[in-house]
Amino acid sequence: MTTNQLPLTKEESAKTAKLLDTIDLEKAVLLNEIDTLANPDSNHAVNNRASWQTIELQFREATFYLKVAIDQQIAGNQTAFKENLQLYRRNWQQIAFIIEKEIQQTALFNVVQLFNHKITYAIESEHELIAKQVGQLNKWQNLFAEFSHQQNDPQLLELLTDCINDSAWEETGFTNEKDLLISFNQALVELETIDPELSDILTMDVGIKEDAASFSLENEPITNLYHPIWDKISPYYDKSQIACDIFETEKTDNSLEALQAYIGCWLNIGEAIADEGFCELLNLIDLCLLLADNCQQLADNPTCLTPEYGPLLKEWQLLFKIYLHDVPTEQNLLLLIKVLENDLWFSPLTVEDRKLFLELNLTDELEENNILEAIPIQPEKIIAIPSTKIIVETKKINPEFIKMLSDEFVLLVRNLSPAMMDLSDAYAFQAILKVHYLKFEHLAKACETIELPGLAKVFKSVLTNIVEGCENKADFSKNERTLFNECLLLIQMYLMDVSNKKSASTLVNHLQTSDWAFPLDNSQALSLIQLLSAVEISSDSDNKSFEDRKTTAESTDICLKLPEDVNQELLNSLLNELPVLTASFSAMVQKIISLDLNLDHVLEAQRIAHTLKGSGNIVGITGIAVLTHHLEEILAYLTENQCFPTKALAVSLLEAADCLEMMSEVILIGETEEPDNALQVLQSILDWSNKIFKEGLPEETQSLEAETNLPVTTNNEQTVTVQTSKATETVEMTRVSSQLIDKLLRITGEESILKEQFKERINHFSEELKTLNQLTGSMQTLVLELDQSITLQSHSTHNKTIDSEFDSLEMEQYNELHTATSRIAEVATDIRNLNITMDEKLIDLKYLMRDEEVVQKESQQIVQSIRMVPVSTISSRCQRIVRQACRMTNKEIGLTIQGNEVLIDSKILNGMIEPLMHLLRNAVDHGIESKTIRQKNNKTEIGKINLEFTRKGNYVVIRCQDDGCGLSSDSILHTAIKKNLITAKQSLTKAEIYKLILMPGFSTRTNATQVSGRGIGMDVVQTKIASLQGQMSISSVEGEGLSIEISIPQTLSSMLSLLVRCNGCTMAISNHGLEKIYHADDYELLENNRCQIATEQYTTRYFAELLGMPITGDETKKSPALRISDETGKTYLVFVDELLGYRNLLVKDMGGYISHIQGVTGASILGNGEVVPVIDLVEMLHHAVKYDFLSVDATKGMINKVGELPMALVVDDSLSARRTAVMLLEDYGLEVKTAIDGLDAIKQIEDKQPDIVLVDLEMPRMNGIELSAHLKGNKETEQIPIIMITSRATEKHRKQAKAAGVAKFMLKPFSEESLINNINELINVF
Amino acid sequence: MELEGELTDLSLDNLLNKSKVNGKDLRYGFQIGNLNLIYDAKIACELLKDIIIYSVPNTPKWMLGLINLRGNLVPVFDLENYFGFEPLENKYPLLLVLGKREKAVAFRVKAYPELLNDLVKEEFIPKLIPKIENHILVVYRGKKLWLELDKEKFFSTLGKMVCD
Repeated sequence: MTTNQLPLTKEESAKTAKLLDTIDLEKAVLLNEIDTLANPDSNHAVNNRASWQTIELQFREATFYLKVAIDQQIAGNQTAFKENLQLYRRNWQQIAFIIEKEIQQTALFNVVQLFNHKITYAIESEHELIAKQVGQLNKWQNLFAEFSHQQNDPQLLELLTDCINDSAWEETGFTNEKDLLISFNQALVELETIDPELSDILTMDVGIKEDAASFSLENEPITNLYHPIWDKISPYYDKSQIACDIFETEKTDNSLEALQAYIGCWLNIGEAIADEGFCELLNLIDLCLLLADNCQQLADNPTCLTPEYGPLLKEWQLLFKIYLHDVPTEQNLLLLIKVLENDLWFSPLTVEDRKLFLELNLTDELEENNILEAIPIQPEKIIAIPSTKIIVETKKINPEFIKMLSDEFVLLVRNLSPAMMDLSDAYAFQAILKVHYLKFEHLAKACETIELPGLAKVFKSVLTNIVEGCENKADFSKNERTLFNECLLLIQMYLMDVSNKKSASTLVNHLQTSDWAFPLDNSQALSLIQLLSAVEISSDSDNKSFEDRKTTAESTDICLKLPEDVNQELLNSLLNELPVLTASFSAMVQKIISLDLNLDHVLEAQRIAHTLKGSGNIVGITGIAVLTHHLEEILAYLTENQCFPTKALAVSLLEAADCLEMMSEVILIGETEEPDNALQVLQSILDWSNKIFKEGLPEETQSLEAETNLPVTTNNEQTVTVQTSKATETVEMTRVSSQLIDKLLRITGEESILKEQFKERINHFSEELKTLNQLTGSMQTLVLELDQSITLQSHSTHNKTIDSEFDSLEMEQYNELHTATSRIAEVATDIRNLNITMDEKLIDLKYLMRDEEVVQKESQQIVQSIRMVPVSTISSRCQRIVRQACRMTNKEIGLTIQGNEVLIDSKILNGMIEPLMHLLRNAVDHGIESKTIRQKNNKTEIGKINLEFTRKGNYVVIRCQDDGCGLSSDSILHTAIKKNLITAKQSLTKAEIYKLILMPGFSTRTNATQVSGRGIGMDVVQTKIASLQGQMSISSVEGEGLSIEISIPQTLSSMLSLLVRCNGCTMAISNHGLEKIYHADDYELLENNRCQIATEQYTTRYFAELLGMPITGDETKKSPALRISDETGKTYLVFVDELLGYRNLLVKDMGGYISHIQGVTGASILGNGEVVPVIDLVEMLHHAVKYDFLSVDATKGMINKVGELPMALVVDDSLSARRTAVMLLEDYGLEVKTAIDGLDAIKQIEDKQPDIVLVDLEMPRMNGIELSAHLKGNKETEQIPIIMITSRATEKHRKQAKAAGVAKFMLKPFSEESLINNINELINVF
Repeated sequence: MELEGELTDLSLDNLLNKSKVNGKDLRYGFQIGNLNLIYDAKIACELLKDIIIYSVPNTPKWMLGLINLRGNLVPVFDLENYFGFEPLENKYPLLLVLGKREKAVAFRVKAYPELLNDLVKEEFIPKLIPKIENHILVVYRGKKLWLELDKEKFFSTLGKMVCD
């Protein structure tokens, strides 16, 4: 604020001093009004658009007249200048009128009126406007224009005031205190209320030149929401403020007098506070008295009075007012203390004093809630509701919801904090916001769900601004970033006390700031502030009396039904986190009751229970919410009292954890049926909760010792990634349907197939280019030869005909033939060069293709990895199953899970859950002995089950070992004989005996148990594992334990397979059961379908035979063999015609209608587009083939028993002719071979006879006629039909061909259809 | 009309673009043996010629195998064989693909399907061969008696038979 340099005379000073002080005070009032104006909650801030439009018109007109007036003054036309200035003033008078009557903004009206006075004075005076004043007028115009757009900006109004008070006006006497007095006449009335003592101080002969409103100087917003004490002490405070100002500005005796007045004020303030008895202000009394004491000491030593005390007092004044503004905070108290710690004081506060004050304050804060309730809300602060008053019902909100919401918000703020820390980095800011901005949407939805519509709107508003910033702008401005940062803080403040109307209004004010991309307008702000304010915290359920507490669990308390109007997004979010949270909770409870006594685990369990409760409540799943609520109560007690659960409580907690997990599973599969023991578990937890509430935890059992009967399962090796909040802080999780992932997998698979096809085409092209290179080389040689021949020929002609007196050039003996030869040579060179260029380009293309291959593979791996989940996702379930089985069998078993980090395709892992649970239940029920038996057998009382997951190539090996009784071969044999599965005479190996337990319904038990029946479903386990392409093996030592090893592929989407050719068909053999591949020389064929390798003998089978194909090859001719081992441990050798190699194939389903064909895992598409069935040889070996294999070719339209494809031999010396024929015939499904001439054809026919021969007539060495005659003259080949294709159309050639035995004579060019028809006619293939 | 990918040169572009003509529902008719079958023009369909069918082991002979339809594996059936009719002449082997992606199924037809829009619904379903009588949705009368096949049910039955 500029200093108001009034030209006062000494005589007037005494009179004007009071007036000036009044003005200064009024300026404070004015500034206060400015703040009120800036506050959209105020009545005056109601935006009257129509009025502002009228003002704008007037303003434009005024601008015009001012411009004209100034121009006229420059031109020296004083009359015109005055006339225009009068018009200018008239506009401003109109504006003032509108402001007063319609806009009703007193502060603005006062400012404009002041301005009008100045203009009036300018018109009436004889002076011309000096340059500075013209500048101020222009400045006024600009500021007002700006103000009309940003009506809430108090700074602009201050600048307008400054503009009026500028010293430029003084130079021509434009300033007049009279004007000021008129403008502030309203305030004079209020002066009457000022304490008489104030008048005394005001009458002092001082010229206060500093702005009295130091608060506004410090930009401290002055509001009316003060501590109730403020009303009592404000008169003293005001006086002290004046005294302070006098003290600061005067260095004479007046300062001492002012100081004395100041001390008096503060003593009065201290007393007033003490009289009112606000306990939270006890500290303040002491501080006030300390200040007065220090000031008194200063007054007693006037020589020590230095100007340095002025700012110190001023600081105190400001901080004191801030402290009582709204709720007194510890931070503000500290600031006050710091003032008194200043060394300038005679008795500054020490650090110890500070601690004492703060400690006292802390005690006071315990009663803060009561104080808050005592704070009356000043009616003028609450936004005035217009005539169309919106009635907003006050909502009572569960504090737990607010806590949960607050936690979530804090988490979000933490995630955003990296960007918030550095506001200068717009890019980082935007990037982080982009990642997290959807969180605001989730929070908004959560707010709506818990009936906080106001806050939901706030989040939506923030989101709208963020989206605008992130999507529609290059980056956020620094201002916007700061705004955003402040907004987060204000939301946090609001969440700390949602019933605090001040926080609500501050937040709304902030959202109205015009710097936002979408600031709230006044009506939005009005409705928002109503919504935000209409919130009350419902009484805390924790404070309920014991009588109010729930004592009996009811069926509705365990209900897992989803509400009909469930918010799908919130539900998805819950479904995402529910299994993780329940598993983590279970793991934590497990840790709590284990010997690892760590209170952090209790705290973590409490936190998880709290989160689950919140989620359950928000989504509306009562079962989860109620159980976790009571669990949280118990855990909170344990945390607060730093104790661990008793044995009985631990059992209940474990049961509850298991129950929660089961509930989670039920919800996940979309069911609503509660777990059987849910009511019982809840009752148990309720009982504990009530007992603890009433009596606390019994002293004697508060520490959990190594209890022996707890169904504890240990997982020492477990490396479960507990997805606590820490994990979610950094990783944004998205719920994606498995179908979508499957589609992605399919697409990446297609991509890899296309890439293979592309690769093959490129290789093909590369080969052709090589041929072209060779041909070009040949052509160049031929051209050279031709050139030489022509030269020789021309020489000989020349020798005969031309006189030797002239050389050839002179005689122009180089004829056109020479020229043509040269041109051919040039063209040949060009072609060669072109070939080289193409070669280079092809190499580039190959490099590109390689790069693309790398990217494609990476993309495929990433997509595949989406489906890969760690074993840890099922480990807690395994633990629970063992615990449950332990409870039922009254056994104590430790389950160790190793390899939790191993990744498996989620489909496989889900498929493995059931068999694994069977195995674990069996291990507990049938494997591990009872305690007494274990003691007898010198085993530890606690049984051990070890579940180990390891990776072996593309397979995951699961080993389930127990230290129980193992398998009894005798019992198994006995049962097998009894069930007629084997005869008593049969001798079986141990492995074969163990395999008997995999037979359906096999059990050595006589009685069924509740846990696992009679050794339930080992056949089911076996079938399930087989369906997942897995294998299972059993090993056991009687009395020592059992080990079951399962190996399953890591993923089902791709499979390492062996490509083979059988009877002309390409097939893929999955590596399920495939142990080894033998070369033909590695084995020795024996009789009766057996063969020998080293000392081992194997049963042999032919692959073709397994597929239902005829064995076409020579049985005596040895083929490669595959060693296959089935589930029973039996090994076979399977002969295949030809091995093509190993491929990692993308196995696809065979359409939606074909689920599973026995022995066929699926099919895959090779790089060339060929479809190959993927064969599971183990399954094929087990199940006899039902149908003969049929070969189909649509192009042939025939369905034949598989044999070799019909073969055509194309004999032509022209490469292009051969190539065309090959392409055509191959497309029609023929196997095609080529020969370059008759002799070559004969050689090939000797190797393998074709079904048809297509022959050219003219060829080197042996032409078509000769070849045909040769074939027809040979008994072995006479039946081969021959088609001659030639360009010789004469009858003579036809006759020759016919005589040679050609069946069809075709002329070049020929149509595809005619050729196909001819072939079909001859060999009937199409 | 929803179509998957491009049609072959045998495409019925103009016809397929509309499923209704003059407010009447469009259907396509084809013959399997002596059965006149129709399907709704709204069903994605495609005619294929000269496409290789890859046999699958352990399947009945009326399942011809699989085709690679732009990266999707589509099972191909020989309905003449399934119903026990005379085998098709092989001069113009045509495959009619109904449905798309995992619900696509192909079978051989002897001629292009014909567009039918003047059909009158019959109230009763006549006695038919057992293999089809449970898979007929509606019987229509035009110049011939047309049977609207319940594609989903019929091919699901076929698929199940293949897997059994």
